[in-house]
Amino acid sequence: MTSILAVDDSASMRQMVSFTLRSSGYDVIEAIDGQDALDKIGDRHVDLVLTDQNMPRMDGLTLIRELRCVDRFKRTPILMLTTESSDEMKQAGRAAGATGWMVKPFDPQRLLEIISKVLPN
Amino acid sequence: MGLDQAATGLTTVPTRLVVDLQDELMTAGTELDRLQRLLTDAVTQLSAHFSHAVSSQADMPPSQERDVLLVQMRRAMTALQFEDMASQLIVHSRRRLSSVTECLGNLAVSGDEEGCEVQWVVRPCPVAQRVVDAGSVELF
Repeated sequence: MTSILAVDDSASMRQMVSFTLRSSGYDVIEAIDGQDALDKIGDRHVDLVLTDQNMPRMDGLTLIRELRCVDRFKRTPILMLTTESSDEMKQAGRAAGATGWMVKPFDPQRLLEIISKVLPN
Repeated sequence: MGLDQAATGLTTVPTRLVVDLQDELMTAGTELDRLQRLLTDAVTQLSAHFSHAVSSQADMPPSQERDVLLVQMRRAMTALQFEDMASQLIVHSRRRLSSVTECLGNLAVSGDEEGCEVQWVVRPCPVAQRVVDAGSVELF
């Protein structure tokens, strides 16, 4: 089963994302911030990462930089899902190694389409 | 202007006024905290009812009515994300208030406008959305 790491400090957002993904057959690992994400993945296989930007302890951009330093995450698709919509932030995301940038709120159908598009076949 | 003010070039802010303004700002902060709790409570209840509706919909046999319901639920899911944006706006406004409160205190003590920096006004608000409509998507 395709496994997706969903990182967001908002419980309601995690619930919406998880419901959308699980109802389409994905396995979801939930984390409340970047540090929690790193703690939870351990040796687990992750096919895609979906992360918020503004979170306590570790933000999304830092999480992406940390993951890109790990061999097995060098090519893993990482999507930002955030309220941040400025060009400066998007550029920072691109520089950090993000695969794409989605501005909240998300449309469930559109989210699933984007995930299908970036997941390796 | 008094002799001391003329010598230092500083303007004294009346302490009573500063205290009153700080009280007002703190009250506004407390009200924002209450708004946050109301939002959290509301979205917790909405999410629970929504989850129940989702389960019921999933148990329905395939039909046109079920498809219509699914479309409506997806739209509701987009709208239900308001709490995340509202919470971030509240946190940002709270920080602005704290920064202004601290600044007023410094101004009252030193009377020095240069030492009064409202740090959080410099950081742009992370939420630019004006409506709860699906945001943009950009693949790099």
